[in-house]
Amino acid sequence: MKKQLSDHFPPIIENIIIGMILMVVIFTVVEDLAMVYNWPIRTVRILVLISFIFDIFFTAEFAGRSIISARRGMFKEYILHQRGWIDALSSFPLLLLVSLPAVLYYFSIIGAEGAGFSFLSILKTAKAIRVTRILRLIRIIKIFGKIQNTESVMTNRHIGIISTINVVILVIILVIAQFVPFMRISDNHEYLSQKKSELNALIQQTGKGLDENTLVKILQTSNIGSDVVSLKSKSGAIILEHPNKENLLWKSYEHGNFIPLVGEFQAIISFQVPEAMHAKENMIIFVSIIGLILGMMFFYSGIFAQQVADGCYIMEKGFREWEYNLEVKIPTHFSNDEVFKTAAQYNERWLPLKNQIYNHRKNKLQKKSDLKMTDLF
Amino acid sequence: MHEAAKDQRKLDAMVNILRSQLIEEIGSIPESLIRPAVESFLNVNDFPETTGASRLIAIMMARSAAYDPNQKTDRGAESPDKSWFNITRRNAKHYGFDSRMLEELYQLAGDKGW
Repeated sequence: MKKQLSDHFPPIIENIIIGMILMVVIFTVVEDLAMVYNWPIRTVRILVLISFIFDIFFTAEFAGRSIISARRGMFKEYILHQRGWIDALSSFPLLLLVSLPAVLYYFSIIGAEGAGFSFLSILKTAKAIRVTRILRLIRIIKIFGKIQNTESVMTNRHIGIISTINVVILVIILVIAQFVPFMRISDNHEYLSQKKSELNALIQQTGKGLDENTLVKILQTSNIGSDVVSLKSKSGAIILEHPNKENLLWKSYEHGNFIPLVGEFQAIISFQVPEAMHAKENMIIFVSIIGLILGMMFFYSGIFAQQVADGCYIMEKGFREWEYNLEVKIPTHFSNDEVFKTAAQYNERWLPLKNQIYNHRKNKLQKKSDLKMTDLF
Repeated sequence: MHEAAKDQRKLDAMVNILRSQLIEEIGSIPESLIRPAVESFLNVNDFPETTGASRLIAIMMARSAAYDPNQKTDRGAESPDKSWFNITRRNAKHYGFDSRMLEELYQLAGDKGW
């Protein structure tokens, strides 16, 4: 791989960073799958730890690049023109607001309620955290800074710019969607209110002839009870426990504490469903971004090269090298494009003129033959 | 040579000299082969009566001299032959080539993918 202007580290470290970017992209999907399929807490703890390591790595990368570029007096250049702002957005905010609290949270709840970092459970459902997690998707753009698809610098830059704009717009829309009611796919707090209303409505029927056993059966067999980790009756007895309690408890509202319902009933309610929906929403955007980037890399870069970059490259080479005499191929459909209008002038005027100048100079420099025409007669 | 060629007798004499020299080197060779070869050095604009064969020889000689077997056709560029014929077509007057013949060769290069 060629050394680029944006390279701040030795090639081996730059290559390791590329490997880490590719791994974190795959890891992002794995993390979301863990949420969708409700993987066991042991696995999730490992994922959280890996995520934390990734975030430390990328924060260190950002810090390193910032220091090195600042020493070279190019910090502004790095931030604005070498995708430093992407490095910034996808490093320390994720470390400080997502993975560090997650590590503290998941490793503090070893089944014990009220453990050291219970305040961090608030962060699990905070909107800011969800928004910050979306920033993980921006990391994909980092690949563009490293993997050059074509030899043309202009093509790579333009594809990079277009892809960055598209990815950032998608991410912004996803962020906005967290705040706009009609665009919101899942919201933890709304979901809790809805779940409480459903449970309250069902419990209220116990006073109207519905006995507790029937209530439990309804909860066990219907969707209403799918998120109820535990249910206490007014007598204080636990009348329902979810079979998958261990995996749902750490994803429950109020740090897994009982939430009061009507008729002195209490329940532990999991936010697994809205989180899974949010993970699915992220994955849709993630797959869209990957599709968009691959489309840009494999389709649009070829089109751009054919319609813009290749012509420019040939003209530049033709101006630079006296012996280079290949004409620019002008596609009939695009002959009115500015690039091909210029190429037409290059073909029709410069190349014939250059040919004359070149041959004139060559003839001038060539040693004249000793044989004269008069020698023949 | 152009001066000599303006006089038909001188041109004939030149052809004969060349022919006798070539016979010495490679054996018998007909005049019909020698004449177009000699005429190929003539400027078509100054000598419009030169034969088609000599005009084609002139173009092919120039093409052979400019030919680079290792030349790579860059992506987005015309082929070396097509480019050369088109450039030379525009310079036909300058080099004394037959522009209509170059035009034909240019079209052929495009059609046949030379």
